[in-house]
Amino acid sequence: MTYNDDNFDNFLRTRSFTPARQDLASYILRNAQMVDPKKRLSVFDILRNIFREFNLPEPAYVLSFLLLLGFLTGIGLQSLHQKDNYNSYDIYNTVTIQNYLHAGENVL
Amino acid sequence: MAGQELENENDRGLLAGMRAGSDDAFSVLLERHTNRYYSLAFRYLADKNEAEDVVQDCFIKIWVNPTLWKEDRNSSFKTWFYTIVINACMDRNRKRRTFPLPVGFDRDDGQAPIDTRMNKRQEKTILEYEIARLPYRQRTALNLCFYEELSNKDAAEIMGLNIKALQSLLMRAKTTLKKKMTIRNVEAI
Repeated sequence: MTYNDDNFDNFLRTRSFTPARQDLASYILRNAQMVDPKKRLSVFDILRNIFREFNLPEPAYVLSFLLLLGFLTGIGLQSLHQKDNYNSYDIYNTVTIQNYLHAGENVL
Repeated sequence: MAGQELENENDRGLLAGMRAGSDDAFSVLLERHTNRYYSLAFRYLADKNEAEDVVQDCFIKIWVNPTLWKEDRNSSFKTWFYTIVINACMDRNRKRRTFPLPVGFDRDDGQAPIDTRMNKRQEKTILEYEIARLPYRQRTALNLCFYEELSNKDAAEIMGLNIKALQSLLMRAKTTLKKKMTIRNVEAI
C-alpha cells in the first residue's frame, strides 16, 4: 500500500479525542480547597522536594534509604548490646547482695 | 487583587499570589491552563477520567507548594508545567493495563488480520495502539508538535532538546507509524 504525507497527516488527525468536563477547572479548585494548607506537605513530599531541588537521580532514593536503614540498625544494635550488658551486670549485683545479706543473717 | 486585575496578571504574578495564599490566583491559573494540559494528558492516556485525574493531581501539587516552580528558572511556568504533566502521564502509563486492541489483531507480529478490512473505529484503535508503542521521546514530540501544535521552539524546550533533534524525532515518529499502519493495511493512508 502506498501513501503520501498529506494523507497520512490527515489520517493522524482522525485520532480520537474526548473533551474534558466543562467545569474541570472549578472541579479541581474545589478539590484543592479541601486540602488543608497546614497539612499540605507530608514527610515524603518534603523529601521528594529536596531530591528534586538537588536534581538527584532515582537511585539516590535507594542509596539514601539504605544509608538511613544502616544507620538506624547500627543504633538499634548498639543500644540493644548496651541494654544486655546492663541487665547481666544488674542481675549479678543483685544476686551478690542477696547472698551477702543472706549470709549475714545466718551469722546473726 | 481584584478579579479583573488577576486575569490580566501573568503566570508569574499568579504564582506569587498563590504563595501568598490567594485562591483567586489559583482559580485564574486553572481557568487559563486546565484545558491545554488536559488535552496533552489525554493524548498520553487516551482516557478522559485518567487524564482529568492526572491534571488535577498536578495542579494540586502546585497549589500545595507553589514554590515548586522557581521564578529564576529559565523556562516559563507553562513550559515547566508541561514537563510535570508529561512525567505524571508516563508514571500513570507504567502502572496501567496494556492498551486493548480490536479482536483479531495480534499484538506482537504486527500483521494484518485475516479480514483485512477495518472499520474507522478499528483504525483509530490501531492508531492509538501504535502511538502508545512509540518510544517515549518520539511520542512526546508527536504529541507536542503535531497534536498540541506547539511551536518547535517550545516543544524543544519542554523536552530539553535542540530544534533539529526535535524535528528528527518527529520525523522518525511519523515514519514508524506509517510503516506500522501500512503493515496493518490501514486503508485511510
